[in-house]
Amino acid sequence: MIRLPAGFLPTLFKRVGHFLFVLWLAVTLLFCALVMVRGNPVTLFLDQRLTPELQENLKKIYGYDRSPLSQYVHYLGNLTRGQFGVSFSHKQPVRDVLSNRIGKSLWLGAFSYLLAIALSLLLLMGLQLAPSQKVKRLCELIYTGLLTIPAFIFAALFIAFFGVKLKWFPVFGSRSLFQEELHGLAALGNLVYHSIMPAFSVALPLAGRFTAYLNGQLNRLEKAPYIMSARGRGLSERRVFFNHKMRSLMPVFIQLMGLYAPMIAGGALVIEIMYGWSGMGIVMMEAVFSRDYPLLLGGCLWTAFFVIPGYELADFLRERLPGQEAMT
Amino acid sequence: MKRVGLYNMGAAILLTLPLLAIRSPFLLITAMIGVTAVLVFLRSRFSLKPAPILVGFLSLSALAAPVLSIHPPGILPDADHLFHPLGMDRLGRDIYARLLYGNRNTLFIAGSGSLLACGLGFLTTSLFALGPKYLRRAFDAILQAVLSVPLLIYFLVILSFVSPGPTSLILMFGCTLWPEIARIIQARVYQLENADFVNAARMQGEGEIAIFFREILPNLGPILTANFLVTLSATVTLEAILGFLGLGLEPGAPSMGRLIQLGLQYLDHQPHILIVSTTVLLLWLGSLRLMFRSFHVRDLPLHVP
Repeated sequence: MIRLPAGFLPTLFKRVGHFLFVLWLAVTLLFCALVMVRGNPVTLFLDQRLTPELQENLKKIYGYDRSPLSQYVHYLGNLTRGQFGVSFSHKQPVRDVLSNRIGKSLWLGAFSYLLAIALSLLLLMGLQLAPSQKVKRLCELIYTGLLTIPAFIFAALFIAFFGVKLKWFPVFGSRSLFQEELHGLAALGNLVYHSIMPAFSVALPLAGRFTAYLNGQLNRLEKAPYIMSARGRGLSERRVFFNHKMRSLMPVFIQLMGLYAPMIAGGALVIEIMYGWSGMGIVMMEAVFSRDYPLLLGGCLWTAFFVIPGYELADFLRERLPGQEAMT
Repeated sequence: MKRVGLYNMGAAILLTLPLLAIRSPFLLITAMIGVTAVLVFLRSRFSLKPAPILVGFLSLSALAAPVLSIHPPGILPDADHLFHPLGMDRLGRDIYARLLYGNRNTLFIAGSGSLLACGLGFLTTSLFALGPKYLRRAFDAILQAVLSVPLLIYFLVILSFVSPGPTSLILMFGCTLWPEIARIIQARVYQLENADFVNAARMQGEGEIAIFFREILPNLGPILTANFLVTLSATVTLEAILGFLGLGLEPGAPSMGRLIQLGLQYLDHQPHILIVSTTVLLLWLGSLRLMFRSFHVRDLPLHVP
């Protein structure tokens, strides 16, 4: 039997309760904002040639003939059953529209997150373990550069050089067009091939941030007693790095994951627009410009569903991690 | 010292890039040496750090844009017969003037936007720090709810309602970026409230308001400054992204993001447009980063793509 630490369950309940409360608050705020700006959204989408009775009938079917308060109650009731309403522009339930796109955003986000972790690990090894000062300087230069250059510039340069000039990678979309449906490994390979440039343009600035943050944490560990004692016992620098320093940074990795969960779930909007990657970002943009409020609300809720626990986790760990006071 | 020399060289190259286009090696070399000499003199005389020099240089060139630019940034009637240091675009607009005016717009919008955001964040935090505890809890929850929607979605929604222009951009940045700042300042206030010297003041019988103004407020200075700089670099990036996507300023207005996009379009024949515009943007971001790095600020938040 697993023994939980004392006070674990009350804390968990408190956190989950707080999460649900904030989620409810977000729904309410968004709903209020949309009611204020939208008026009655159905009138935007109805064909003006329809007879008034037909229009009234359609409003009734979608539930827009009632007062905003009863619409809100109805929407909350539907939410508890997992229904987000019907999208105007796609003429489909919001849940179906989103579930088609979420996978792509999650793939791109997870891929770029893993790439960023791998790159920052490489840079950290260079910074901490390299025998010569020159390599360390080089790594410092690289990560400062990565920190400074924003993702959209990387994306623009990648498209211009590797896409258009050299034609190494496709510049648009998430799978090859004009081709019969691929299956199995071939489809996966095609997806990876298409996602290399977008994933790198998200991952490079992220790797810079991770490296800067983790390097600061590692340097702070330098004077820790257990590191000194490990060195005193004659352990190699490499072993100290992997077995002593990196191991104590595990919670920090989880904290980073929490802070960047929204990016993974919500899709990097700008990168998705630039590469025509049909994920959450593009859906949300289309929803904004076609005034498709149910879809917008559903998409925001999906992102909030990841952001709020992310912040909770980051807060929770910040209270427990040593040496965090100086950071905020 | 080596690094400082590098930045001075960067500034010198930036200043003299317009002259590169006229292909006059003599003028180019003398100007470069002259600028480097002035910067080195300033550095040795006043022992300035590289980041403030760069920020000062960029801000001065933004303020002096009408003087420095040879032509106005709009469409010129007799463009073909005039002198264009960086060439011109398809509509006959001077790229050099557009660069200077774009830099000016960036400084104006990003500076006022982040000032507004910091002011709002600071005001709300201090109001709620003085208020009772349950109000503070409620404020926390609202902040989290507001922060749970991605920033660019707010931008898209707002931009689909307001008319494009600098004022709406400034208001938009101010109203959407303050929750993040408020959260950071609030965490600092919580820490300070449990600090020993604040407890000591409480023991001496000082009231809550007096404690806030005398003990906590003076300690918020560094974090406010650092947050202003972080927000400034975020708004510079966001303004460039919006310009790159063709949003934000009214069509035809000079902006860094649009210039970068133009540079990508003209990459085959006039690659210097992309190089110069990206360099100016990266100089902004790099010098701001150097400045706020000295505050040891945690630069993780602000989900800027």
